[in-house]
Amino acid sequence: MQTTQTAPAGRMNQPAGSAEPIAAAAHAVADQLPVAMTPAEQALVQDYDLKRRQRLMVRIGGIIGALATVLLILIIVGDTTRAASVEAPFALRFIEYIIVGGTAASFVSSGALARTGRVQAATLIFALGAGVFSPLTVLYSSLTNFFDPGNWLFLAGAIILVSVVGARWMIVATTLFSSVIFGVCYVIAPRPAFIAGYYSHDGPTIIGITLVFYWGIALLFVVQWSSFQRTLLALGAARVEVVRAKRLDELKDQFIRSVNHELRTPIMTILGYLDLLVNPQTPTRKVAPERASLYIENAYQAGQSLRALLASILDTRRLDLGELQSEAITPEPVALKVALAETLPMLPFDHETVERELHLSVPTEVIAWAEPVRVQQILTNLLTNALKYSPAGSPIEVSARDVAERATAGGGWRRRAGPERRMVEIAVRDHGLGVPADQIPLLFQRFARLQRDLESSVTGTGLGLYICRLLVERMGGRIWVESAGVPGDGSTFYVRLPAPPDDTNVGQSVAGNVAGAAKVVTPG
Amino acid sequence: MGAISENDANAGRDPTPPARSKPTVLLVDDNLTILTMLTFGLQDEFTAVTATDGVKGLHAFEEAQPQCVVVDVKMPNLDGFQFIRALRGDPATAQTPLVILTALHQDMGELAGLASGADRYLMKPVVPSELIPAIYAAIAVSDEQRRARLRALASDED
Repeated sequence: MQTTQTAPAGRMNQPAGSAEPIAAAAHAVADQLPVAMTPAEQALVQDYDLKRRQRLMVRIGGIIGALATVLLILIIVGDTTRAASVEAPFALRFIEYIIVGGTAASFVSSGALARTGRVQAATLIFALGAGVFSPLTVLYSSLTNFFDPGNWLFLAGAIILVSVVGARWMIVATTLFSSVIFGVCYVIAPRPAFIAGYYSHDGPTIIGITLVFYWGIALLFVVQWSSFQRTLLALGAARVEVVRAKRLDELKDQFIRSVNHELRTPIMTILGYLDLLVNPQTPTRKVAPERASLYIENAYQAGQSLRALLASILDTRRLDLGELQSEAITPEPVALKVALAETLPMLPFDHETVERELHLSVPTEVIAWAEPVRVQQILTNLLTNALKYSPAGSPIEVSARDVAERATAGGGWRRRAGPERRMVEIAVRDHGLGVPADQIPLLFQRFARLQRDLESSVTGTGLGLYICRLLVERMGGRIWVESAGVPGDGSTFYVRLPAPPDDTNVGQSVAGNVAGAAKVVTPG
Repeated sequence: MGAISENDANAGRDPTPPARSKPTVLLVDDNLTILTMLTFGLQDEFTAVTATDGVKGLHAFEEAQPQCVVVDVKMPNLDGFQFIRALRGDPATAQTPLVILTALHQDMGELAGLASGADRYLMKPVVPSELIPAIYAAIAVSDEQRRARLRALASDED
């Protein structure tokens, strides 16, 4: 069973131990967007950074890898042609091959991995090549030849290379490693004659300046990295907004088409009956009175359904403009059993409705703290959907219960259990086609209708669940759906609303509700 | 609104009074309220048979052998277009007078290009006093004219 929630603030799921600073930091951006980012949108934010690193590694990895490979070949060739007077023991040469070979291999393979799109892996191997093998090359070279200023700069170069594509921890690690190697070389490596005196005389100064130089570079790049990251995040977020705006535009078009289609039906019905009254085709050019009242009655009903359609469109408009949201909510105790009883007669039944079984399991004592009219609106919507989107003859189950919910407070690693809230939960279950897991987030979006429903004859505006979500959240609750996506299993829509505060005199208000409901006859 | 002149409307009408039998018209539309209204509207001139989707429409067609079919092109289950293709594709039924109703603007373009070729196209909302003349006009189209038109459409498609 798949569950999804529409929490008011966006939260992204991050794989634990992600080495990607962009991905990890995108959390903050996601929290600012009004609706949680989908995985596809998260990917957009990281996309720029990944592309950039990919390009860099393909080029740099390629060039340096090629150079290192050439160097390795030259070394090997040189060693084998010097057969008679081999200068160094095999063990040493072997180490040399490993180090130079390792450098070459790292860069070449990082370039190759980057080219195939495996940027994360490529970055790690690049950092290995630049931050580990390169300093080791310096170490080897210094120990076997001389430790000269060229080698110092080479170590700095390693830091710069890593900074180009690596994460901050990689920059720091490389700088640390380079500093250590510098220290080791300074102490034990042979010194070139022309500056040996300088080394021993001004030792501390040289060491000091060099370390400051290395760590200065590292700091510079770390700071630059942060500002670049912020820019990328802003860019990514802007891109996500554009994509969403486009999607909303498409949804609006779809909505206009749906509404266009739906409006024509009641209008055609009304005009049709009026046409029959105004232009009678009968020989006597007159319509019999009973027939006339039937026409008028039918036209009137069509008018009512038109009115309901307009109401749902207008409601959305008001919700969007925040009019509804700026009105203070005036909650009171609402007995769900009673609200349900009042809702049932208002559900749309047309001539061909096969009898549907409605299983109600709503104890009298389940009482919500909400606005009665809105609760009815939500129930009407959920039940209408259940009827529309499940086959004739299949049952619908409605249940309600008290629950206690533990809200979470804080964010990220500081998330902890907050105080317990008493809530009531309503569940409406149908046995229709169910909803595929990847389409579940779409249901509660404005104008959104599933492709398969657009292609069917079921009419809808795509607004019902969106309105429900806004209303539920406004009253301090939440709404979600669980569905295995299996036809016949159907879907269950859950709504949770707060329970009345402990000090409420529930008895009085419920009595009021019940008295009003006594006139309604509950079917089934 | 698709208005047809009085002459056309009267063209297919037999001037002799009630003793004639009423042509049968098959109405195919997924909306029951529309079908009810149209049935009321047509029942004085025609015998109306209804179906709520293409599959039921084909069954109803076989049973009732209507003189004209009126079909809405946005339906589930053998979508309106497919229903029309099925009708036109079978030589036995290819000459059936056909009136198409549609609420979707984009369909009009597609319909014109389809080899299925209806005899009349009307944009919803359509009222009975427009539909009845269209049905008569469709019935009045002779087999020869229809064949010629379908041939032209088919060669366009190639």
